[in-house]
Amino acid sequence: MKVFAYGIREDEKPALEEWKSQHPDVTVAYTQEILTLATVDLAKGFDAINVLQLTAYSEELLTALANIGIKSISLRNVGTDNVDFTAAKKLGFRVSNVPMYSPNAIAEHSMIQLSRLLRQTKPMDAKVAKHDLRWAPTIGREMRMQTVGIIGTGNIGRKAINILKGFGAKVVAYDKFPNPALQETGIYVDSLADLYAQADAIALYVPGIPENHHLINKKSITKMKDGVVIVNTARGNLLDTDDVIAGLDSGKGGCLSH
Amino acid sequence: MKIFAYGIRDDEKPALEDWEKQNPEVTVEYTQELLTPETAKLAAGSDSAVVYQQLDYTKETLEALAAVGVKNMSLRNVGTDNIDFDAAKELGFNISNVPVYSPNAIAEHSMIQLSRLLRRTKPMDEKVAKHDLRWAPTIGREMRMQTVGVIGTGNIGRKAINILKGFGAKVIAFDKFPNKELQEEGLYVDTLDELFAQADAISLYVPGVPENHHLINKENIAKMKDGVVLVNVSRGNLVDVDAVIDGLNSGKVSDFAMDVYENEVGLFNEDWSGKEFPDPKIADLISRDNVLVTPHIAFYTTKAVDEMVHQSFDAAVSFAKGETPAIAVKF
Repeated sequence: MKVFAYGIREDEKPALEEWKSQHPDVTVAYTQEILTLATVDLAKGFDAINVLQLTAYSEELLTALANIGIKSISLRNVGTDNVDFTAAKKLGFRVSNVPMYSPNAIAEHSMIQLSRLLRQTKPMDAKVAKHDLRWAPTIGREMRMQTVGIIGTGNIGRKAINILKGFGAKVVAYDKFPNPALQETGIYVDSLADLYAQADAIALYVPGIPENHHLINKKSITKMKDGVVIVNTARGNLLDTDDVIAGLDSGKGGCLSH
Repeated sequence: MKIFAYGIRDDEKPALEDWEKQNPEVTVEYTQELLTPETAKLAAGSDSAVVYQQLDYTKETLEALAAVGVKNMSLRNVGTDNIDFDAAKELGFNISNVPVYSPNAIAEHSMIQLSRLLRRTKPMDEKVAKHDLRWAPTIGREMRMQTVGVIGTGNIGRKAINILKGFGAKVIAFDKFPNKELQEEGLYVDTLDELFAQADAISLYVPGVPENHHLINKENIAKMKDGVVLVNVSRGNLVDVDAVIDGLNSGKVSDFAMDVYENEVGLFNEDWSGKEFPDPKIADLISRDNVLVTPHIAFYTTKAVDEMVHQSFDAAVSFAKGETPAIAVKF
């Protein structure tokens, strides 16, 4: 069996080498180039390809692949927006993605960023970098002292809640589809309005589907506490950036991590 | 009753005003100046002094304070390393500190710094600041995937352990005096050597007592895993900075966060911007992508400041009444 991988980066090589040694029966070759019409032929003679790129897997590209006998594509990421599924179906392709590589990675990043905003690490680091070693007045706030509103309690949101619990923060959560185990802990509020009213900080863990478009906008920001801290590591369209900027300018929003 | 406070900062004023409102019978006066032999006289007529500084409370200073009739001194912080206790005893001083203002503040800082080192936020922030928005190759490591060695499981160490558990990290701990609950969880290793051998990251939560001097030194670093991440927000003398620098240079030590430094007095809490920086070692560390230096700010949160003000002023009142508050220092 032979697999050809495109777009392999340096940071992927350790994992790739490890996979190879665990699968000695599979021949693996790769390139750092992404899959394009120009590089399709690199996969000639292979059984399947493995890919990660932002550019489109167009009908033209898929046809070229099918012509050299490749009808299996495995994406290394979750996003499949750039796959022409109509063409893929027509040509008889099988496609896989990786829906869950590490909810922890994303949850950790969101919570690290929140803690940094509360702690004012950006201005403090800037001071230290220019050798101003005075601590006052760059005072921080503790995670422990905050009420954090978690919007979305799927895989990633639940990891974030665990991290918050470790810090001792108070957590209030909202999800259209509450998680039964979390529900029993009494963590949910009934409406987003309730969450906005109670939260010192808000973090988003919902998909970028049309109904969530601009969830955070002028109207919802008005319902939030003064000085609210907002964190979005989910999808860009969840936030109306202009409204958030206006909030930052007015002082309504304390800080933003986007 | 009158209390005089030294070294009062703007960020303490909200907590101070809050305390004054709760204690209307007490007259409070204060200065932003530190307590020195020269400023001691400002406390004349007061029952107690409330202080916070890294500057030494020398025999001279204490004598000056006693000379104006003030023998009650309440520290707003925990560290009492800079008090001449022999002189204080001789002069008949009552001294209190605030042993626990917010273990969370310090624990959070240490764990935030650890997570930032693992995540490589410093180089990533730099890229973003100059508008290089590429993610590769600035890859991070998850807290969840680490075995973190916690040395010292007192108030602060235990809070740090909770934070680590929240992240899902594996925790191993060492303490000369193990905590019963943690012991039952099986978190302890028997020796520091075992901790050094197993830990991907190590964070210190022990006092700067003589026996802990240079706990992290060349010998111990050699016992650690390759690429170990070190965090010290406790006391400067726990770490031999030269040994850590050697470790960073060789790659043995992957990353280092320090909030304290053996020679920090006179260096930290000063504005050296635009001036010649007096410590080339620290200047070098500040410039490295895999090192985070903060100037003794782990404690510095709104909650901590609130506790420091309230507890120290309450203790000052106790002393003034001839009572012994729970947080009086025995010496």
